[in-house]
Amino acid sequence: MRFFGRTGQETNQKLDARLHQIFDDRRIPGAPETLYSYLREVSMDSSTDRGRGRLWFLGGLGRMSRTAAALTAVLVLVAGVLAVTVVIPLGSGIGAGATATPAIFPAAPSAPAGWRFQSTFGGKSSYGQVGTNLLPTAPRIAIHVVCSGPDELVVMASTEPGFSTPEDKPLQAAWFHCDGEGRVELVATSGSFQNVLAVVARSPSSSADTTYVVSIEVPDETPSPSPSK
Amino acid sequence: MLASLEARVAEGAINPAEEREAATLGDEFVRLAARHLDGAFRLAGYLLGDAAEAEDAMQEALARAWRAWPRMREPESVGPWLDRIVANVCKTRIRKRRGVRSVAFDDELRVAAPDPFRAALARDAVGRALERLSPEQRVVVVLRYWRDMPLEQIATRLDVPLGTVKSRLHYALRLLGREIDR
Repeated sequence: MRFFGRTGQETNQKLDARLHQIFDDRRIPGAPETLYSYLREVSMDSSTDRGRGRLWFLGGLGRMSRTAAALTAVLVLVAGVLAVTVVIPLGSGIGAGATATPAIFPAAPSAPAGWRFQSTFGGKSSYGQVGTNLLPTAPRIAIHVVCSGPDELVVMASTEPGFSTPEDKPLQAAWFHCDGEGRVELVATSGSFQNVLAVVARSPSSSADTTYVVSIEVPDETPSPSPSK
Repeated sequence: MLASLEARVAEGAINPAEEREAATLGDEFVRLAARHLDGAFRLAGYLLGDAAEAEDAMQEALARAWRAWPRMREPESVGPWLDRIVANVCKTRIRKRRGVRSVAFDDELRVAAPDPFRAALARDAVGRALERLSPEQRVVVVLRYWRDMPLEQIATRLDVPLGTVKSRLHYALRLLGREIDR
């Protein structure tokens, strides 16, 4: 099959070869033992519907009773949907008092004197890498981290645009233990920092998630108010 | 989080006959899924480019598969079925990354053992360009070049028309081909 109408056959063959080389199984291990354990564990979960149909729990009732019970279930569902879409939003609107939403991520730390907050982002170890572009870019930044969990956090700042990282991309990185708050100041060797990316260095033995908030601070160059004449 | 069968029986939530049925179902699920676990894990790894995330995705896929297992009519085709679930879970995860690119660790930043999937994909420009493909294109490329699957089989496995598979592969290869021409 030809995938490229106008591109040469040579390119096609090279690409085929490269892709086969990339997907060479011999270098890739199989599923870790933890997944086999999880498979056995998950099969112990009895919360499947066991193929009895959606209303299996009504099996012991007669036809009329089943119909009545099914209708009741539908009414309960409708009432539930109404409660969620109408009553709860009304109750949680402005002036309805504080809602008890649990905080997923720690609160962003406040900037020390001489620095001001620019932007923040948070993540969880199960969500891979998280990052942000700096607007505006800055030649000097501080990475202020609040991190909690069993893992470690690597925060990288780059003076190149985009989050993809060719090998030669200039990066500066800071490594944080996730046991509270940490802060480090970075100065670009040339240009300005354009983006910051956080990656959780997952501890091989950890199963709990690490949550973190990365706050980016820049020097506060707001001119102080001039003395009144 | 997982209620054991014994506990459910003790509570009276499951009677002994159901327990036997459940145990048989569970045994069959474990036996058949275990045969395909290595392959499904590698599929997740190549799609996500990260072994730890592949493991998370596999746990999610196995939980989904087990919940749907009682409705499984053809236990002999559990491999393709599991692949489809894994591909769907991975596509969702890739979409959730929205705007954030994976970053290969530099040697100095390498954490513990190098991630085999990350290393395989970061080896050359073509591998790195895979990250720019859409989740749908990536699934087709991985099944075509890793599993060596004919396009018709990919279409069946993903439950999409053959024309869609051809189109996804065409655009994916066109993008990857640019890396060769550079």
